[in-house]
Amino acid sequence: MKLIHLGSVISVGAEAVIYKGYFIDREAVIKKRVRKKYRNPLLDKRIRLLRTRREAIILVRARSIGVPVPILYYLDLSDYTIVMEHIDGELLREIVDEIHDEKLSKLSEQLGKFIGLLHGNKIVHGDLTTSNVMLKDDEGLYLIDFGLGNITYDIEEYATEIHLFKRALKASHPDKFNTIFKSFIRGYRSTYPKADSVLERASTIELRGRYIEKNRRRK
Amino acid sequence: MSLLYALGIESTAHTFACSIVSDDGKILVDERVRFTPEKGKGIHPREAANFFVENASKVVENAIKKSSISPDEISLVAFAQGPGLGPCLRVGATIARTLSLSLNVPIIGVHHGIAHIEIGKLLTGMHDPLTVIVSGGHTCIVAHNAGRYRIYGETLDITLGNLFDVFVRELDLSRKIPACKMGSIVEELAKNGGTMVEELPYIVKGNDVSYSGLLTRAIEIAREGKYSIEDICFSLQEIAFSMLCEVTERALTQLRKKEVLLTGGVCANKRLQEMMRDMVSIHNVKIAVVPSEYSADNAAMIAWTGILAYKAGVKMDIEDTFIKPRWRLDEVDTPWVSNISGSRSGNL
Repeated sequence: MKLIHLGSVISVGAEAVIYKGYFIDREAVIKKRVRKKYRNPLLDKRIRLLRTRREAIILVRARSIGVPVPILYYLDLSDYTIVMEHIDGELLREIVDEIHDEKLSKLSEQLGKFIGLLHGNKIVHGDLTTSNVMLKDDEGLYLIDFGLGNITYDIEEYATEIHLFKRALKASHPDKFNTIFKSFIRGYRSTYPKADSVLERASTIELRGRYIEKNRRRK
Repeated sequence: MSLLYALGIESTAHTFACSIVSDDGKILVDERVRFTPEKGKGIHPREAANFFVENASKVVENAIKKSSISPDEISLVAFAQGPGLGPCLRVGATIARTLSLSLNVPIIGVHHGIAHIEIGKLLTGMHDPLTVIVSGGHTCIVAHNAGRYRIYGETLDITLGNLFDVFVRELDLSRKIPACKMGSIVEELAKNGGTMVEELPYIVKGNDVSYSGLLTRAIEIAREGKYSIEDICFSLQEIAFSMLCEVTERALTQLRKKEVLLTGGVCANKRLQEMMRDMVSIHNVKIAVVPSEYSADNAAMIAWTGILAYKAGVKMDIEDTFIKPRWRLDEVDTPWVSNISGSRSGNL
């Protein structure tokens, strides 16, 4: 019997091709990390293998600590393929401009709580943007795409996550930035005791970047 | 209708340039001098600034002469207000203020990075590109959204230009091929390499890259002597460019842009161009590389961006013309760019 039925392509991302198909008789999302033509073959294999393996491990761990992520159904490292639950919801990115500030603030706080939980359990998402958060009507938020995720004790990585999320929000939702980020931090603090030291490190990461005015005042 | 002419001054780093551009997009002249540091050294800001002071009046004079317009036909002075090296910026700003006051025309301070994008759009005919700026000062991925250019990915520490420059300097590689331009040494050496050095780190975080760890490790490995310098240069390029291609592709698929524009000094690298072309080939996207004459620092881009800003109603008084050495690209309102894409497609 065929385990995986690929179905149709739903997106061609930078990282992988995503199919919506079936795992045995269940609706599933199939994520195949394809070869990148621009990348040296050796480097290409190394990256695809590492990321496929990490993503699978993180999906399992995140679920076990109560962070809603798709269920991992199947893993085929030889083909750099992950098969997981299909989440029937909307991307947060698509609805940010449509929902009321009050609801947006609530969702952002919830997202902060989940990220706090992840960091408390040594997991970083690695690509936290509103494109990687889904809202399922009656069940709330789901985190998806752990393709750049990592399991690490390094506070720098948690702080980078916060810094990059902040930057992504500023670029994508400049008008909603304050609403989202404030509530996000409130949630983050509530589930992660070491939140403050991470936030402090996040601001030093920001200062390390190019052309940051605050640099000068520090000297 | 008669044309509007802008005089532009560029002086952010090693190049002092003066250009005159008309508002129909014609570059009448672009005069440049370039400060070349002693072999094996970086740009010392004060030395570069002194060099600018010595050469500035000659450059401006030549530009006006060659443009074949008379100074009183100039209706605007634009200058690079930042980001860049303080002492160098100050020379350009002072000259721009003097010209503006003596010709009695408005003055506009322009963001150097944005100027790279605008001249790129003018010369390639692109309208709403995802722009990759790679130079000694910038490594970032930029697109327009909601009234400003927004940064969708960038380096978390040093730039791509920095990475190569410091690598070459630390190992004194200019000694190996003395005839080669500083900026092309890694590219030249890499042509004779081909073995991937596995120990080099590949660091992508979200849509950002980090090159400082790669630089440190590459220098260490080169000093260990296990691999040939050609192989290390080859691997350094492959890894650094792969990282950049990956984050560019991420931004591209997220924003669903239809055009990719490559600019900045490092985009002259042929291997980078090839990899970027390979990257976009599966996406049905147009790609263009700004001709090297205008992807490197120049003043035409400053004059042109000045015209765009001026026509959109941007005004500055002399008091507003303080230099901004650490000016971020996403701090600048850009009323001259229409929101073609609407705010939603700009969302990450």
